[in-house]
Amino acid sequence: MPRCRTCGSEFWPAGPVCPRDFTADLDWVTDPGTGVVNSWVQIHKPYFAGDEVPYVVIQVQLDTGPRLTTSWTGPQLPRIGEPVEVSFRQIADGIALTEFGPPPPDQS
Amino acid sequence: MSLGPIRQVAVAGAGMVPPTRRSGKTPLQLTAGALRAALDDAALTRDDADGLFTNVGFPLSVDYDRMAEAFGLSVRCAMQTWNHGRFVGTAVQAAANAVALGLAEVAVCIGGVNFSQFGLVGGALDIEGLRQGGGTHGEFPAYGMTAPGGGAAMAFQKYCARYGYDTDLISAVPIAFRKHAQLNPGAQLQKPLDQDIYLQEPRVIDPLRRADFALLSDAGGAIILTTLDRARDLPHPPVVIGGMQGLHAGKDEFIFAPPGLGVFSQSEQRRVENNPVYEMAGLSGPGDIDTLALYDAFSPNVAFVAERFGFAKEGEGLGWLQDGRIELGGGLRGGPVGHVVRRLHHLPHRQGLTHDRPADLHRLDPPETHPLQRGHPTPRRRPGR
Repeated sequence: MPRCRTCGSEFWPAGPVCPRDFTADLDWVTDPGTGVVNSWVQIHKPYFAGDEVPYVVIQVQLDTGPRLTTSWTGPQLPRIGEPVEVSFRQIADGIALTEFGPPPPDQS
Repeated sequence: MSLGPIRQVAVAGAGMVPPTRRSGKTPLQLTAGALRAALDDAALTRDDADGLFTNVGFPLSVDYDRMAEAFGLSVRCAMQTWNHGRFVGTAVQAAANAVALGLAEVAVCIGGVNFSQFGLVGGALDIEGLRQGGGTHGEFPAYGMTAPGGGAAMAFQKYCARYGYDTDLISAVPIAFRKHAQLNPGAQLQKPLDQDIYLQEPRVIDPLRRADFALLSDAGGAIILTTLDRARDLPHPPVVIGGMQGLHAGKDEFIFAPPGLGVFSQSEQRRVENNPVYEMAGLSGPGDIDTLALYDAFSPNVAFVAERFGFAKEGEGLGWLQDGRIELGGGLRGGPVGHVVRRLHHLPHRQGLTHDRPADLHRLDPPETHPLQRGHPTPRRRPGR
């Protein structure tokens, strides 16, 4: 995740300046990838050919602050506020997408 | 040297090519038809128009330069916005500013959209999703997040969780507007809609159902702005623009949520909004409003507008909508809310509120409410009222 070295906060979406203080001294850090479900939708209309519907899209509030739009890995529909953690889905060479779901029981 | 003098501005006419699902008309035909109707309504001619204001543009509608060329306009002040429905209000405000400052005498605000050529908003062909950082409605196609309705649904889900509502309560919006539609022979949907029927509507993007989405339609709309002095010489009583306020932007703003709701980049900090439009219009606040018109592309917008402009307190907007409040004869001093914009997505309705930017709440500018504002009887008034 991009992080501002002046104020220390991570932000999303990425950009060339920190949206909090408008400075440009940034770096990229590895976020722990934990958070909670901030909101979710379930899409029933087949907007994309080849996608099975319905499917869930969630918005995760990372513990570090930013919110991400991402995919859901949980076995049931999400509940707002439920804890989640990241995993990664390799979709092509060098391209991975995030996905979030309930932490496995032995890691909670 | 200073800007001015400022002239007062009024709406002198309005016209539409009424919405249909498949008009068989091109955007140019829809815009030409709307302009013709508005000019006739105002008893003005094509040659009177010297300002041209539009949102949308090619391909859904027509760019300002092609309109001016095709219609033989001679324009000395033109403006075209980014292509979203939210800019209807912005375009009319720009027209009002131009007339006020003398950059134009007769400003035509025109839109004509043909959605039937596309049939779908969202998906792989939707360029909104290509924008780095996400689309303006929250689109992120790599994760399947698409269509303006997706962002509205995401915000509404959060709102209901935050304030403890059953999401199906949003049915109050389409139920109210369908009742109004049944009084309007031109309305596209007229079959009865009650809570039971609403609950059978298919979910499109959960928690929103089909009845919560504006129809993709074809239509054209135009309004004519001029100085109040000029408007007084024209056949209809002028509809004065008494106040305006601008379009907000920032990390705390999302087009389909009140500020501080806590979706996308927003903070979680709600606040009481300062809405200077009321004071500019000489009103004390929402209690002075007879009729409210707004851009309800999706049902939840009505609740969020109610909160943003002080008709309901924070978190109370969805409750405020219940029990017929927004129906004819409901709580707004007997006037209806928002029904006019339910028929379309990108609208030729030229004014009214978006969720953050009313031009003047005391009056309605959408063309089909224009006769209402003048006091003419309309099909929506039940006999005997």
